[in-house]
Order: sequence, then structure tokens, then C-alpha cells
Amino acid sequence: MGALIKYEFRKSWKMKGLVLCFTAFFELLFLFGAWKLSDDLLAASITGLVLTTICGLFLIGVYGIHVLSKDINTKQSYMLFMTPNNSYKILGAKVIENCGSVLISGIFFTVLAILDIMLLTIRYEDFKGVMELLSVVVTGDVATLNYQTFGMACFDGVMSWVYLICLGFLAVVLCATVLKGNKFNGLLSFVAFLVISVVVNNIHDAIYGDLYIYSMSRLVSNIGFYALLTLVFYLITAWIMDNKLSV
Amino acid sequence: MLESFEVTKKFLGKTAVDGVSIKLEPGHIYAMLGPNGSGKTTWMKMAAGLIKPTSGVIKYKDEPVGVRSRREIAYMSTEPYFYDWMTVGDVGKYYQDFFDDFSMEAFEEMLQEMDLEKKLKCKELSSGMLAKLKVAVTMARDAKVYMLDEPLNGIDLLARDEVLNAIIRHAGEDKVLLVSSHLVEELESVVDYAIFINKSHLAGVYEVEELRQNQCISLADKYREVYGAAEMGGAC
Repeated sequence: MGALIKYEFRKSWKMKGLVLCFTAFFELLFLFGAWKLSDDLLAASITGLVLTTICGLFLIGVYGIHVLSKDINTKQSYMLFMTPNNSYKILGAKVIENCGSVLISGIFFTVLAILDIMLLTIRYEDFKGVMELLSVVVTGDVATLNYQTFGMACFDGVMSWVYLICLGFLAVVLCATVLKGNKFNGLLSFVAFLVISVVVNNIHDAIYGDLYIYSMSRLVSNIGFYALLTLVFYLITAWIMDNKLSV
Repeated sequence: MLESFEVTKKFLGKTAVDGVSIKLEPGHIYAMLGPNGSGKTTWMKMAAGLIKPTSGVIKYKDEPVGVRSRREIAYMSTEPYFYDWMTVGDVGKYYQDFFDDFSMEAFEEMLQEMDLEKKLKCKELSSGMLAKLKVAVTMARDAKVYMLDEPLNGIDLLARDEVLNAIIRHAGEDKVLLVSSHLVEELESVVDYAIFINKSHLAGVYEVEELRQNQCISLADKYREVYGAAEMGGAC
């Protein structure tokens, strides 16, 4: 399993390195702006950091889905499937590497954001007021948005993205197995992806309700919901690969 | 050791392999012969556990082929399959990471014989160099079964002997060697048995020496007979 994860990382490290370079650049810009108390530099760097976080997490996930598609639809598939590893291990390595990367990146960006906010509250005395205003807008309560809740809310967002990546894996595998030979297999698998995500969303809303409240217990429960879905979709996808996939 | 029972594979209504039953025993070198599209590659991929038969079963040591058999069956595809980012050396490391029977020393030795440098990028190799690399990395395994699909494709006349020698060196009492090729004359001197596949069906399994001695016919002539329906042979 370790070797599989190593080679999965090897396939995508350049893209991840690029995301890290952008983050480092905007973080340096942010630190320089905070040191010089330059509003313009801070605004530009915060915008850059937010965009890098969103685009970075999005790209890492989508690239993982693209790599799986390449690994089962091209001759490179032999590199994986001629090794003495079953589909559960092969897909498991992909899930661990890709979702692990998203999770680690998510934690990294969250910690970075918390540290940057702390720095701003030290450098700007009235920044605490800005945070309180933000808390009221988001939660309707000044007291609820603390660093812990903020961290868990970020983790919840990352976990929902991890579940979507696993759903993407399922769509790609459906395209290469059950729908193989169909003229519209790409389109059909995309439709399947959309339908399943809408159904899951409706189930989520039925359990948790439409209105989202950032309480710690609600966040933990929500993270558990997405973790369970990730596991279910991994097992279904690996089963289909094991029983239906010909490379 | 490796046995196929009435194996059939259909792709979108087209039958690639139809009811093929063959048995490969250790200690022999087999040639799998047939024109393009006859089903040789499909059968090999099924035996390697890469694709699943529509019906029938292929067994290795009395167990259906799968994850466990891949430890002892070394398969070399005719198409290039290495990752673009890999160098020749990376390919060796990859095999070392996944196959317990892989020998880095044997791999390096074969690279030297075949004049391949470890630092060369796979995507920059010519088709001939890639073919040599595939043979080197596959034969550097101490597998029980070697299945080589068109190993001489893209290799020039002079290098063919090197490749054939590298393949033959691995023949042994406890090993099965299966080689598919269009170059029947090249294989004639090295194989014990020839398996003929024609239009998805098994057209026959012949012992090469028996063809020469009793039927006074070469393997190439038998090939022409099977696929060209020409009359061959005669007095020895």
C-alpha cells in the first residue's frame, strides 16, 4: 500500500508544489503588508490567499479524478493492474493520497488563516471589531465564532469536498465499466454524478435542515456524515473495479 | 500450470476469443501465433488478470488468475505502458517496489547489454528502445510464467538476437515461456510448441520438433498451412 501511495503522490506532486509556491508568495506578501501596515498589500495578499486556497483544493481534487480516469482508460493502467494489488488497495491508495492531500492542505490553509487573523488582531486594534461583525453576519451571535468553531467549519467544508472527490471516482469508474461502449458514457456518468450528489444533498437537508448553524456538535455530526459517505462510495467504486473493470 | 478452460471474451458484441482451451506446462517455450486480431493479445491479457473473460476460466496452479497469480506471472504488453515522467531507472525501481522476484542487478545487466542508459526519459525513447526496456524489466523478474506479447516489435534485426537471448536465458525446468509474434522464422529455433489462434478460435497446438521430424514441415510452413490453407510438407 505504501508503494502505491508513493507513486500516486509522484503523479501529482508538481501541481501540489505549484499551489504551495503560490501560497508562499501571497503569505510573504501578507506578512510584508502586516509589517508595513499597508492596507493595499494586505487586501491583495488576502484575496490571493483565499483564491489560492479555493483553487488549490479544487485543483487537487479534480486532478486526482483525472489521474484515476487516465489510470483506467489508457495503457498506463497496466502499471497498476499488473501489480499484485487488488482494486481495493489500488483505489484505497488513491483515496488516501488524494483525499489526504486535500485534508492536509485544508488543515494547512485553516491553520494559516487562523495565524494570519491572530496577527492582524495584534497589528490592528480595531480588527477584533471586524471579526465580531463577521461573526454576527455568519452565525447571528458574537460569541459563537471562535477559532475552534472556525477551524471545524473549515474542516467540514474540506470533508464535504473529499466526499465529492470520491463520488467523482465512482463516476469515472462507472464510465469505464458499466457504461463502457455506450456512445454517451462520459455524459451519462456526469449525469449520474449530478443525480447522486443532488440525492445526497436532499438526504443531508432532511437530516440537518436547510438552515446551517455553526454549533460544534452540528459540525462534528456533519463531518461524520460526509466521512461515512466517503467510505460508502469508496467501497462501491472498489467493488465495481474489482468485478467489472477490464483494462 | 497455466490452463484455459473454454475461455470466451466478447467486446460490444464482437467475439475476440471464443472457447479457447489450452494448457501450458513448465519447462517449455510456447509460441502463440496468429494474424492481427486473431485474439492472442486478448487471451494473454486474460491470463495476466488484466481483463475478465465473458465466460470460462483461466487457472494458474488450479486457482483462477488474479491478484495472487500476478506475483508469479510476468506479463509484457505489446503497447508502451510506462508513465511519461519515468526514466529507465525509475521503471526498474517501480518493478522493485512491487515485485518480490525482481532483481535490480539482472535489470542493470540487461540494460548494459541492450545499451540503455538509466537516466533516459521513457517518453523520449524510440520504439525499439522502449521494446528493449519492456523486455529487460520483465525478464529481470524471476517469475514462473513469462508472457511476452510481440517482444520483437520495433526491434531491428541485429538487436533481435540480444532480445531473444535475454528471453531464452530465463527458460527453465520450472518455468513457462509464452511468446507471441508475427516473426515466425525468428521463433522457430527457440520454441518447443506453437499455439495457433485463428479468428478467435484455437486452431491447434503443435510440437515444433514433431512437425519437423514426422510431418517434414517447418513452423513457418505450418503457419502458412493454417492461415493460408496452402499445401505444404512432403518427404523428409
